[in-house]
Amino acid sequence: MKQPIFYIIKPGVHSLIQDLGRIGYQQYGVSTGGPADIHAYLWANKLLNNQSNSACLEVHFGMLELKVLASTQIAIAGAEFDVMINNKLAHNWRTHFINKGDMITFRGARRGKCGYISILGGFSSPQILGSQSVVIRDHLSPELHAISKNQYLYSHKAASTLSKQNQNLKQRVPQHYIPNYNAPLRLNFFPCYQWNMLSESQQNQFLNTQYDVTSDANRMGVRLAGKPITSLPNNLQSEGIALGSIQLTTDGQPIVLLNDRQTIGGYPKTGIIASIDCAKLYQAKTGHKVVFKLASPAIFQHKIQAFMRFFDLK
Amino acid sequence: MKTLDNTLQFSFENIGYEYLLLKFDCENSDTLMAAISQTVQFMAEDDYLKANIKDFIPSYATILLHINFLNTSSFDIVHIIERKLNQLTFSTNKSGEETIKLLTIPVCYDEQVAPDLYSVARQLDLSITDVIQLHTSSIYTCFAIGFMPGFGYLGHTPDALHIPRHTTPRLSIPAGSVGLADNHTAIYPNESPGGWQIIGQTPVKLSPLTFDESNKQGNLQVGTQVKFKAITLERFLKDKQVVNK
Repeated sequence: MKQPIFYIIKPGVHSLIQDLGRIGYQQYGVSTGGPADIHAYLWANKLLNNQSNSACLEVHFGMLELKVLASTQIAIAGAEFDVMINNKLAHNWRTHFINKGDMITFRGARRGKCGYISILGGFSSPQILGSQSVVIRDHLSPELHAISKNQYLYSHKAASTLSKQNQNLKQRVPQHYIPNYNAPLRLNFFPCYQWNMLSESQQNQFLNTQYDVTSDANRMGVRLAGKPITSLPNNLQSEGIALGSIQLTTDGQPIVLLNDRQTIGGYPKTGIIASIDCAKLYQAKTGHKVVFKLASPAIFQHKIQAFMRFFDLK
Repeated sequence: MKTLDNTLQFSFENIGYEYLLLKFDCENSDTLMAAISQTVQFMAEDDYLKANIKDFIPSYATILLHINFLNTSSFDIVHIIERKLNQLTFSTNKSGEETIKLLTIPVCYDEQVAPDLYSVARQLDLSITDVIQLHTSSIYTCFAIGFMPGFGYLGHTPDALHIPRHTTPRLSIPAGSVGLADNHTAIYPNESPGGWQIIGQTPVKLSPLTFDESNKQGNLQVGTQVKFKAITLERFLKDKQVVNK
């Protein structure tokens, strides 16, 4: 049974329902989607003891205004939007009780770019090919769209029954797990794909350049700017693109490809970054400094396994 | 690189810690595609591979595998796929033929739904009838699906039909439009911006949402063979109405 929870007064710049993504359809050209910041998304669910795949509202750039239609609990995590519940600051990375008639507002993002609201039991929204994630550019269904004005958002179960179960639940993310989105970024980098087609000097240039995050950044990818790498291999056959692949465009600048990336591509790629670093990169604002740091897949695999077990990912 | 069948070689590359890239090398593109199709097929039939490969992307000469590395290791996956590949034969006129399906897609080449047909014919120094005849006389292979869901890169077109895409893409191309670009042809499954030269339109829906038993016609996969069949504008409008119901 689904229950209306929010009425959208202001939809914000770009607010999307996201679960862990549409898995298993990339062979048909369907992008996975999924949270742009998986770390913040997973905390938003974990704070409420939701399942890791429960759909959250992913808020980009803020400027959102919601009216609460039923009393329940929410959690907020990710970018710092100075969320207000009835004009009172609701702290980030925590759970909050909300009551029928409350007003929730998001201002512009002060730190980071996107944040999450989770609700008890997760949002209910159309499920297409096994996922509620909205990937605008895939146009899979008219039902999968950005949140719009005057729209209702629903929770999966009747909020009242869930609230009783979680009456004493008041949780916050421990301080040392809260990322600083303004910290300089050293992205864990694994050379592969066309790395060996690059000359030693091209490889060194890539590893020694401090790049700037540009404003050309969205859920498809983040374009970086630095000294261009010239004389790149061309006429490559298209191949499958992994999350976090670093593609060099014809002007020699890297683009790190994220959740809404196209499934295949024929531009040269230097390798990929660790999947959890994609979240940090997405949160980085224009002008943020980025370097690539060679990492060992074997060591990193253990780190990610621990991360996945912590958040009960399968 | 390991060698199969004298002409076909394959190798694996680790892409970070949760992806594997299976790369085939062969001068014969039919053998290459047969190898990819059969690999995709045995991956779907093998319980262990099915459970431990979350997602995969076949494209031209490679298959990218997304591994569930909580339950398996890339060593195990490599080992199983290697063993399976060694058991297969890839000469296309033997085992390959049984598994490759041929889709016949009806296309209306009327200028009302083919905005570039006239200029394509003129640029290629052909008559409109020649363009249609050339486009419908070949059997194409779907080498990759990408750009948007269900957009198959079908090749290769006859030399006489090779034409570059528009330098400035159109802002909107209707769903079902059939285009040419370089040595490929493709169908836009959804309305989209795009630069391909549009020479016709199909009433058939090719969206991934129609991937079920009831709409086999829309089921385009990498390795699928495709043939186009010319239909009249009248037939097109009638079929389009049925599809949209």
